[in-house]
Amino acid sequence: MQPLNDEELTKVLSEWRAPRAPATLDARVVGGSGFGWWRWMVRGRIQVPVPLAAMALLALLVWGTVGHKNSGVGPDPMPSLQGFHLVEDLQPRIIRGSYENN
Amino acid sequence: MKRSELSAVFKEHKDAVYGFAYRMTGSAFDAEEVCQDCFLALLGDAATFDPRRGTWRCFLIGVTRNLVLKRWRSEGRFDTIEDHEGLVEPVDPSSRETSELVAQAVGALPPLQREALILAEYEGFTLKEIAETVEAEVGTVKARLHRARQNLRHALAPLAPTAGVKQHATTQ
Repeated sequence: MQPLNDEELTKVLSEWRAPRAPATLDARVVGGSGFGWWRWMVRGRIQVPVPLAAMALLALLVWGTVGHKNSGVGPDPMPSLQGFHLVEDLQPRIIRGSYENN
Repeated sequence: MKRSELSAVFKEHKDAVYGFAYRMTGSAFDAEEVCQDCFLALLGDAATFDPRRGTWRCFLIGVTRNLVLKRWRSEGRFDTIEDHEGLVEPVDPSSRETSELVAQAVGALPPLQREALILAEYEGFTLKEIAETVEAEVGTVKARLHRARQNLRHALAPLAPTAGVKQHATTQ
């Protein structure tokens, strides 16, 4: 096939038009200037060095396992019935109120 | 640079920078990312404009070009971003519209040929401006541009008017 000449090539290349910058780019570049900190709270990122992250994770695991065992926190044990005696001689006394005499 | 200055520069050059990034990357998503990085670099010390060395537009296109190449390297997109012959396959005119076929052919050029062609053909840069932007000799840029055009002459040959191009697509 015959290659394009200069004029044809220029004409064909001009058919490819790039789109205009999208509105989202405005928001990303200049839109964020007025509301910095809460935008960062929602969309911000922080970089943590891997050794630091690994140490923090390890510390969390150790605290989670060892700390849990030593705390002794758990469900309440059953109350002991030791020292509990039945009443052997029950002597009920009825106290009447004064209004019953009237 | 202050935010207010950035806003003014952004407003004036955003379309040119985005268009260049779009043509270089072939992706709207990547173009937006690169464009954002380019303008936000102005806020820090990463990119400082010197009016004695050229226009804002040339400077921003240069920053964008470096960001695109950095992205390609980090993604391992190309084995090597060096000068090399790379023949682009002829396009199939029955498959898509002309603009898409041109995008496909330009996108298939080796990276250094691609940037030279985009800067010359679409950004209207002179050989000297291209050479400064890509940090190469004028002669080297000239050779890359020649090879790029030569490549596209063959790759886009099926779009020649005599080859039965889909003219309806080119008139939109």
